[in-house]
Amino acid sequence: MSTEIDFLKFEQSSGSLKWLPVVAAAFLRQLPQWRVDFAAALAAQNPGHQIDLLHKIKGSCYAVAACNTIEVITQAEAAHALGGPPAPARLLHHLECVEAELHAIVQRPGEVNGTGPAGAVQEPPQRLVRAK
Amino acid sequence: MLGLSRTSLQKLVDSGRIPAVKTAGGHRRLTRAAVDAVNQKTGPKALLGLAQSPAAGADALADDHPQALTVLVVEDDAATAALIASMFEDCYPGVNFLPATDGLDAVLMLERNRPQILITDLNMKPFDGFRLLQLVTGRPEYQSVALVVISGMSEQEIDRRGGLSPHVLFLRKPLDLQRLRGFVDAHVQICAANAQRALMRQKA
Repeated sequence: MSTEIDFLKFEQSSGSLKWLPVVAAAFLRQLPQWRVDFAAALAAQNPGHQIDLLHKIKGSCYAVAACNTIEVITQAEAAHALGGPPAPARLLHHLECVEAELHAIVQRPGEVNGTGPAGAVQEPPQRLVRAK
Repeated sequence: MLGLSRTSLQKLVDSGRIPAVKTAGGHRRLTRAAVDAVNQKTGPKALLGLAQSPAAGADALADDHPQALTVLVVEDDAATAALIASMFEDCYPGVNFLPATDGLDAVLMLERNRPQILITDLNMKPFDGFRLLQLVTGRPEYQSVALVVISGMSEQEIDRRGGLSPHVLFLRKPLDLQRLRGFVDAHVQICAANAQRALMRQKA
């Protein structure tokens, strides 16, 4: 049972759950770099860069319907607007949960899209590869 | 090299017949390969004829691509790009789907591929969606391109950065793909109607 990824929300906004494994795989490819960038922004005490990153991560969280994490990021953005810290520990915890759930979705896509057991998603759709 | 005057060459670039990029100062930058390709395809005399013919615009787009609808999607977030790509892959197998990861990438692809629809994010680095839209709306040969913006940016922030043209369809993140599909469906129908007209012209 997923607690971080809202399947119903994903289906409502996209129209089909079958795309979730591919979108999840794309999300996971970005995650390591975000961790590095976020740690660097925290170490540099650069709130502007932190907020830019939060905005990027939130965009991706929308794509996979990671609603709890979106809420945490929205709170962090609001805190930043009031001059407060972005509460990175809470965000990183949620991202870890999202990562675990998305890995499960990528490994067993058939359980999400109702097509039954199937191989792991490894490649993006054909046309994600640059045409020219 | 082409046996053309500078004005003729400028007309060819502005009408999209030679792929090139226009700088902020109005200079046209084109690659040797693009010139060679056009020269080889048409020859200098044919090029001169093209330069002297009326400007391109929407008619040229319809004539060059009577059947295929081409959609350029500019999105630096891989997850959102994958979602849109999946939708096109499944729902619009006949549409030419072109992904770009930032505005500069998109400018080069615009010149090469002449899409009928441009879907773009706003917050991208180094060349953001605002600059891309400014460039597209400022050039006559792109007036027929339908523009869609997808962004999680607040309205205040968008206004602060210059706002959006009223001709742009704005879809806020989380992206409602059903709305995007409605928009694309309409353009698929327009494209099919254009193709039908072109076929009838050929028969007549």
